[in-house]
Amino acid sequence: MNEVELSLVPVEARPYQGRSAGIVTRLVANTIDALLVGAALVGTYLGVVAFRFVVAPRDFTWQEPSWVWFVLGFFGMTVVYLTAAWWISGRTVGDHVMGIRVVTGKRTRLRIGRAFVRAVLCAVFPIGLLWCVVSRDRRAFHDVLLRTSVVYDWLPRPARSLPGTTLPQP
Amino acid sequence: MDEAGPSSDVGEARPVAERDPQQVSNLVEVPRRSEGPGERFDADWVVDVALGFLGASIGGGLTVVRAVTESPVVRSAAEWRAPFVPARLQPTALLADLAVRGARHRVRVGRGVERLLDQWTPVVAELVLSRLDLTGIVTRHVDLDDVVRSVDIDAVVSRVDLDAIVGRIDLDAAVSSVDLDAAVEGVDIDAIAGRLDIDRVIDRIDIVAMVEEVIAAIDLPAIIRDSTGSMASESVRSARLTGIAADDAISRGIERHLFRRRRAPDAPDRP
Repeated sequence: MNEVELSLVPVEARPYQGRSAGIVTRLVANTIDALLVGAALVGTYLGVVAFRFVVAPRDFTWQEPSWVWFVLGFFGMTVVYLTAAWWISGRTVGDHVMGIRVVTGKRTRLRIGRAFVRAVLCAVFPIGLLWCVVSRDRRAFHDVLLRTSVVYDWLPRPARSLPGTTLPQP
Repeated sequence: MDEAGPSSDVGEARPVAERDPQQVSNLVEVPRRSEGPGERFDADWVVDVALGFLGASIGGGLTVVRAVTESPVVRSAAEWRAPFVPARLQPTALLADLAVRGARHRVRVGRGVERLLDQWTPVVAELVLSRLDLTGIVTRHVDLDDVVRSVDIDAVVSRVDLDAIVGRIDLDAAVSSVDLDAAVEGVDIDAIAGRLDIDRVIDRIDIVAMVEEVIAAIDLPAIIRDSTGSMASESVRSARLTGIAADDAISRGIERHLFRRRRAPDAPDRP
């Protein structure tokens, strides 16, 4: 029934399904993810502040967050978010919006270890994404290191999301 | 032989007075003159006498002819050559000359007879046949079933050009003259449908393949998008397609810039 599911993809996008995604799509997806993480970070900060205000309103004073904690929080939240997203569904919210999915070289979903390492590499060295511009396989730096790929996959759920199954070969 | 003798061999002959003058006669109902009660005139007897006389005459004639032709006197006379008589006056020459003339006459008479037969036979046959009830005669005397059995109907049908026959039929006119509504009303469609094994019919249909072909042909996502009218999904689709196009554009530009002669394997042709 995979053909029926594939047919849910618009006709003009079907030839691209399973092929490696380019820099523009991935940048847009990563930007969306960064905005989400930033929004979550700000929301968390506001939540903590609100909690402190509720708990001790008399002693409440507005404290500016330090940049160190902000960067560390952004880093940690990014790693956690990317790891969970790639491990669970193979795609983040930004990936889902742009119709791409992170897969292994065998076109399977990432396991948690490789997802975590990839998330750390993305968070520490995000500029490595630009390597996919010159890579013949459109692979970023962390993709080359971890033998992963980012492919176009417009289906809402992976047709072969279970480990051991494969996505359409490019 | 009784008094009804003339009609005994022709079945039920009607009296002449009862016959319709327009229906002149048929062969088996040829009217015969009624014989007077006192006449002892037997038709069979007359025919027998006539045939006997004719046979005796022909037999006698043949005997005479045979005797003459086989007579040694005649033969010897025909072959006799008179002395001191010129050759053209010899009996043999005279007979040969007569034979030639006779043959010429015979041919001429034969042609005349043929000409007469050609002219008169159709007329006479028409006159005769118009006075006969051929259908009645055939019906009474011909075993039509036997005749039909002897006919190779398959061979006849195989020689018939049915296409040409059908082509000459105005089927539209024929169909228009049929009251199809009345005919359909007389059909118990429910009974027919009740005898159908729908399950077997459905089993023979590859519904899955058929549905897949239909879905592939009608662009189902487009229909779903149109029916739901989701602006968000349309925007996402547009953003994705724009991203794909931008990816391809950058890949082509980078490839040209780096003078790569190979084509990026992951970049498909433009749909």
